[in-house]
Amino acid sequence: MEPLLSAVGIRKVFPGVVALDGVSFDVRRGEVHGLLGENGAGKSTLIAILYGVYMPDGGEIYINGRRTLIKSPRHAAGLGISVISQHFALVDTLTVEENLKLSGIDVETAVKIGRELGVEIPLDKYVGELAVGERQRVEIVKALARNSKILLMDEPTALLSPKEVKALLAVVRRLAEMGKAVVFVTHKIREAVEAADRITVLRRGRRVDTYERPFDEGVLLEAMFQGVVRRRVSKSSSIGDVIYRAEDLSGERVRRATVEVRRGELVAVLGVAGNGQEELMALLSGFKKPRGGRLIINGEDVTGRPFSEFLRRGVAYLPEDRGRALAKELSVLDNFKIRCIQGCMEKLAKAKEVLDIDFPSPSTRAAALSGGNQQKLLLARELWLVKPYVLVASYPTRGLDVDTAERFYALVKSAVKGGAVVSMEDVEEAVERADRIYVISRGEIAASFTPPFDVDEIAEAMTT
Amino acid sequence: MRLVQRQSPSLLHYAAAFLGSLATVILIVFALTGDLAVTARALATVDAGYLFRVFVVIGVVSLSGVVSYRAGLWNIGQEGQAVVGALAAISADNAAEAVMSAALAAAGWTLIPAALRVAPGVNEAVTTFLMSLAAVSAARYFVEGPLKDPAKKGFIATVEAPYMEPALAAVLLAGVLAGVVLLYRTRVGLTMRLLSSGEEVVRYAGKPPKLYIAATLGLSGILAGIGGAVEIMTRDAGRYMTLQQVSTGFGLYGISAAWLGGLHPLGATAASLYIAWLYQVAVNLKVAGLPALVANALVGTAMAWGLAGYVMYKYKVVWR
Amino acid sequence: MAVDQVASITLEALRSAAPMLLATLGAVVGQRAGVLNLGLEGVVYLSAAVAAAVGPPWGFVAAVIVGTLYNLLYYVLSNDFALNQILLGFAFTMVGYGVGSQVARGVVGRPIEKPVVYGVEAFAVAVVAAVAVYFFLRSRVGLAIKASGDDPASLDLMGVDVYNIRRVAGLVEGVFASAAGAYLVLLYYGSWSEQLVMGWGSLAVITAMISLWSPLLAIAASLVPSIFISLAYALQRLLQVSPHLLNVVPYVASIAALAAVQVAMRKTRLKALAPRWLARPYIREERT
Repeated sequence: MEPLLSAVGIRKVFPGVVALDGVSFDVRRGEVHGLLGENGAGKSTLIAILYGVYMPDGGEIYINGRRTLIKSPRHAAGLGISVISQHFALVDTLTVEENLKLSGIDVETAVKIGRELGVEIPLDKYVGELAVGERQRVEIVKALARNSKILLMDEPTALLSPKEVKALLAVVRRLAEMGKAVVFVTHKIREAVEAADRITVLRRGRRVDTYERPFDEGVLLEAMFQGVVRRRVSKSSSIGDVIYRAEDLSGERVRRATVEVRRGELVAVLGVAGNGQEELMALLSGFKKPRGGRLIINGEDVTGRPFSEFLRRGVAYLPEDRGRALAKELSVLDNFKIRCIQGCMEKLAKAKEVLDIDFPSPSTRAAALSGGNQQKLLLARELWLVKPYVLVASYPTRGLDVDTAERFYALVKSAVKGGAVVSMEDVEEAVERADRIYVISRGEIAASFTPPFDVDEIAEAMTT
Repeated sequence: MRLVQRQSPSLLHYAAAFLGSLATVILIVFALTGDLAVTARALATVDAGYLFRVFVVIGVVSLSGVVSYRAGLWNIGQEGQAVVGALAAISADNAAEAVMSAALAAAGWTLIPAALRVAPGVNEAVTTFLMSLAAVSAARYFVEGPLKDPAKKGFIATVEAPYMEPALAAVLLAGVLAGVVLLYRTRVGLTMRLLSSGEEVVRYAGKPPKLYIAATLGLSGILAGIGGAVEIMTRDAGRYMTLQQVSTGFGLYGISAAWLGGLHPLGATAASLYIAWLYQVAVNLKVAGLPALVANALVGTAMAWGLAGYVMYKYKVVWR
Repeated sequence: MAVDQVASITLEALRSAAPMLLATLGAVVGQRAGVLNLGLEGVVYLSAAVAAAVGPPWGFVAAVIVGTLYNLLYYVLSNDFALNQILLGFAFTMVGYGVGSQVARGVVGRPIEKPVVYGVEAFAVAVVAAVAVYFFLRSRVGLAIKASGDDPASLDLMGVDVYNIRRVAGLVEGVFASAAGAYLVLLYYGSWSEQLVMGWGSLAVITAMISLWSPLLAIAASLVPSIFISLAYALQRLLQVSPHLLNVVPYVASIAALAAVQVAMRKTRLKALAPRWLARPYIREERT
């Protein structure tokens, strides 16, 4: 069957990095085609090109056999391509109905399609009030109402709870049944296997291969990571006394959270996104002042003190939003100097080597570095250089390829003198890396686990 | 048409911006005078001493711009801060006292926008601009009132400001320039530059952002105030203010020089020479009968080119 | 104060509130789209100059055409070409002063024959315009303008061209601001001099913020500077204070009002009303 959309030899280059190097890909009507790859493999870039946000530096795109240049999102929409991305095309400050009007979608049609899909559209609510899963469903209905024939879904399950994931996958199958061509981008093998008819694996900007049903998870794993991944389950051998304690911590979302970190321990805070983890990390690091509760480092109460005080006591904070920790407009060297006082040029050169950070020169603007390299720069500065006492990290491995994530954990072991508390999204990652797991749900610590870990028990705690 | 980030930013584009500005200026002058000979005369006539003095003043004010914009703070009230500085100079007995009281007065004038930015986060561009409009009226009050010179019969003007040798002013400029260059080598200067990436980054670095915001805006105001004082004190004649002639326009010139110089202290100083020349051209045109505000038009376009230069430095224009 | 004095101050305030409201409506639309246009001062000034130079009745049309094109140029340069919004606005104001003063050089001081307009009529027209803007902002284009100021990235993803929408906002802003400028010369002051029209555009920018970007609130908010402006005239006759100091009052009062409003905004949910991307540059391919 002739593919509805076909991309041949796509190439895309950004300052300092080749995101896509001659990737070919196609999708048929009534098919769910999974685009699988680890973070940084180029999946999102390919989607952005198919949706007209970026222009390729090489290669062609064919729609229904005709060569097409996709010039803008508007153009893509006109060609029948819709995207359901991690970034919703929904304006928080407008109601669902107003958003539909803006997108030029007939409200009645949308409601009808919603019912066909088994979904309820809350017209009068402000988008800002809706949960993530609800917003996503509005997006899908919008796409259908526009008579889209090709749906591009970029990591759609990223922010969903396990129950919502099931619902979404059902909707995806329904879409294929309705005759749409769906491209399903993910880094989770299980999901791709469950939802897709065909799977294409990308690795480091290149296409590895395209696979048909039935799928072999081992083969897919190897294709994604080039050889079996050496997952060293490195646990701490000796754990000492409590060095850092947060008692009944409360903020806007967080309520009465109590967290303890012992010497030599790596503590994981696990939860579905949107349950207050970001705020908890900000509170634990001292970057944000709590509304209630206490923070005690080595027996001393430091609640409410300025962040500089926490820094002095050896607390390092890796926020999920790098914009807090990195000055994008300044050079790499200037950013390094935020924590470095003397001999910074030499130290930066050493760090570049040790952590394999890719940048043309110390005076390059930090914004020009890729996300992964920015993160590595942060790790170099906050861990390698500073050698902190307590590390508070918010989703530090998000968006990183396995290599870099491995490097992160190794660095935590070698550079952190006391202990670390890290927030994660992946149960497997937590079980593998942590000495203790706290599960956060709706801003509260719902449960805490110590080894041996029972994955099902933990997953259950996350969904209450 | 799209804007794509450059792989490696290039300074050549500032040169291009400068040439663009030059071309625009020539075109404007020709359009206004309609006569090639007059245009050539307006562009070529230069009074070295006058040019030097104007260059020094603009140089000082340009550093006010650099300090503010490098920190991502938008002080555009240099005009008013300069006026306040000039008033302080008028009421002083000698040059040294004038510079110090100008600094103090300008700091005071900048206090309100700074405080409002720090506390409820009111946009400092709006407040400093309105304050500079208000400064003109306030100055007129002083011209008619406390600073009025009773000896001048027939027209209303203030007493004279003390005289400052242009050479001394140049030394002052050099000192301020060195000060700013050195400042940016320190941690304080680094923190000021961090501010342009957001208050959170400054707090992350362990420094109090509000203090830095107030200090940076204050410093920017002080430099503009000193510029205003130097301006009135280095005049050969007429070191006083009248009702009609309150603001001198040097606020705009300094800001333009800051941008055309790539927000770099040395670059801004170099650009100040170019802007000073533009001012000379405007004076020549005034002699030919055009109104004084034409200088604004020339310099305003120079600033637009400076802003364009900044964009060209970071981005490439792709037409497709 | 005697009743007729209050009446005359009120009438005077309404007369000046009309152009203030018009300019403010322009600023509201522009700021809603996310653009903080400090060049509005220059647009008002330039349009006034053109109106004075051309004279009634065609001066009005000429003023609107020139002013709107000037404003549109600002929008193209600051959005499509990403020149620094705030500083470019400042530059446009300075250039506006320069070009305007040259254009109107010939008519300085010459009285212009103006129709007798009572305060209430002019203000009523402006109020009607405000209501029109209110409905405009609820239309599809108006929603797009609001989205452009709150979340341009999402708007772009929706397939609506952000740069295009902002140009539309620039057009509307330009029309209102230049109308205000023409009004000031042809109907309010009735003559031209270099310093006359200064300050109106800037006060409109701040009044838009005070009215929390709502055209209906702008009706009331535009009375704030107007009252102070007319109060200044009245107080001049009453007190022995220098007129120059009184001229400072509208600026200081507006700044104080804005500060008060912003403090109140922070304490309450009203914070949500501010366009989130105000004065932030939007570049489509920005890789963060």
